[in-house]
Amino acid sequence: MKKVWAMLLITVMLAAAGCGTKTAGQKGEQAEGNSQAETPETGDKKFKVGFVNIGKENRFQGWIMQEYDKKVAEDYPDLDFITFDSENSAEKQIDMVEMAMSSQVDLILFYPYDSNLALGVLNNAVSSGTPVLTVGARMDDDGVLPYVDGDMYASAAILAEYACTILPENAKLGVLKGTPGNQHSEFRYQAWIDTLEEKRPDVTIIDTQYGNWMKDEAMRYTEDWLQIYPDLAGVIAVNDDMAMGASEAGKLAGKTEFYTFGFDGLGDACLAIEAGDLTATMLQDANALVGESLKIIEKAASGEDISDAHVLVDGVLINEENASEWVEKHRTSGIIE
Amino acid sequence: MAEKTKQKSRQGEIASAVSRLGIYFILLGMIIVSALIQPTFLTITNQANILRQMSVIILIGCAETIVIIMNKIDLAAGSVVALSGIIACFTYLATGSLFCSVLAGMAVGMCCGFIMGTVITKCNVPPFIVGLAMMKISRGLTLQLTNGDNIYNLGSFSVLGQGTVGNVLPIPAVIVIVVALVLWVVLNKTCHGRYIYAVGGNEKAAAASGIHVDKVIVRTFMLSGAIVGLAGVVLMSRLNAGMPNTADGYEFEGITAAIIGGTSFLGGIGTIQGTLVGGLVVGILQNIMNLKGIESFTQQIVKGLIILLAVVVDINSGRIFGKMQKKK
Repeated sequence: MKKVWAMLLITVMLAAAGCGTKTAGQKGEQAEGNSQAETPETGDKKFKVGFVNIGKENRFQGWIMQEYDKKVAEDYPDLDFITFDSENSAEKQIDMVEMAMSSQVDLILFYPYDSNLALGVLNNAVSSGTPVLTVGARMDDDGVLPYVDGDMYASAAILAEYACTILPENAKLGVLKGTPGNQHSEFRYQAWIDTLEEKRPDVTIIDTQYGNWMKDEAMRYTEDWLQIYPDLAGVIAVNDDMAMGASEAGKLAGKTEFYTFGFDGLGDACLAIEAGDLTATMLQDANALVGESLKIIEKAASGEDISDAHVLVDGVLINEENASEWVEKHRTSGIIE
Repeated sequence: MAEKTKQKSRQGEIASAVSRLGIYFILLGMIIVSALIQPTFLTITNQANILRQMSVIILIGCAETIVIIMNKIDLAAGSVVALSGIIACFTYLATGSLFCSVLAGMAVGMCCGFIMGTVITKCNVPPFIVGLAMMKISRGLTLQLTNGDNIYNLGSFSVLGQGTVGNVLPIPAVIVIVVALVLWVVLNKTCHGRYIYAVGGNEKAAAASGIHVDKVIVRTFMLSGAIVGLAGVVLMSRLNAGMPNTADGYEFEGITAAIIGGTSFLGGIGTIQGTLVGGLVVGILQNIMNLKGIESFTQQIVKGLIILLAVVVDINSGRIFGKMQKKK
């Protein structure tokens, strides 16, 4: 009986693997139909790109991957795009890079969870002849590896400068950072601090905590801050989910005027700004990041050297003036259903 | 001689009472210290905040308590919370009915509990492994169903997690009280409750005494799952969004509340009221550290140390008191 169950289990697992998607997330697994595939018309070998992402659990990542799926299907039929899901783990990203190399990809597209951890293995890839392009963030290597990134500091500074024009005098603010060591979190935070120090020295930061990008943690911190500082004017958060968590806490406390600032420009954040629940955010334009990175990949596919490719994509300030416009754009692109 | 025997018996009773009530003294001590070091601690809004913030964890703690008393464990609670909450959100969007969405969330939790209980009993798989598997499956399902994205525009779905009774008592706290009362009745006044303790104390002896152990295990996991499902609905309602990647690690928070409250990993020992107190101990600790502006890294260290201290004192309080009496 045990043998029957074992055979049944193995059959089910093989069937599941055979029905597999584009994502290869387990060691030893090969994504279906993606190895040295040929275009039907020309018989030429497709340029194989291994995209090592952070993980689909990350919301911004989900948007990025949606854009890649769309653009590759529509505009880059000669690209063979395989995703290696790192399941939101910096350590697993190292495994995924190694897996991409053993899958003999022609280029590694890397979205860093941490700006240092995978540097060694990425440099190994480059040394062994596999070009690497980072997207969405840079490695901490003084720009050695090519990248397409948003300028986090400059973008957050734009948002902070806007905040400086609307915050009340002597405002008290709480600050929520992402996770320790995350480059985007640190750049955004520093931009806020530097801009406030320069332009609004009257503003006081009452506390800074790591909200781990999570809405529930942001709610908890903000609720507790409001106990100590009932006159808390608002919260600066380095992503939209935490900003919306802070906003919920403000609403629950009966605050009629509560300034909350996020980052990413996700669909629900734009809706929240439109509804007056969020003050402003900064769009990290996934469309532009993906578009620019695919242009560089196309150059690599045609044999060009991409080692000097360093592209910074501008962010877009979203506030009450243009929130509706971005809600519409997100609706058109399917981000908002 | 008789006098000495009487004295020893009274000392034993007192030691036993101290042992049972140790966690309550710890809670009282924490409240007194917190009130002294932070004036805003005892305000009604702050107390309401603590209750609101800890409701989901305490619900999970209650669910874990009945499972741990049975000498089993549920490591999937956090992921099932997310799955149940998401299903509840979808149900609300489809029906506009809060009642239906609560039922849907609880049903999902109950199904997960049924699957886990059945696999444990019929396939003899250790609960630890079953929990790990269900953790992965339910989280994966949650992400698959939502494509990793939040569900928003939930309208008055948020009233369950954000509303109050009489403008003071958070509705999640009321839910916790109701669930705790129900579980207290189950554990103390029903046959099933006695069977849970019996199975946890000695499974073979329970079977030998005629208890259908497998049925008890499956039913208890289903009950636990239903409570976890309810916790999922409350959480998403509080967040006013269906968030597929939330509640990560919540099972450990719930287990912590249960263990601090006196539930034993060895099985056969535990109370719902202890878990309530355990949850409040953790909640007050978190709250006072936030109120004092203690940085997150330090909070983690302090939290771990206080939890360890609370459990050590609780476990050894009866023995220490007994020794002190002997010295007299």
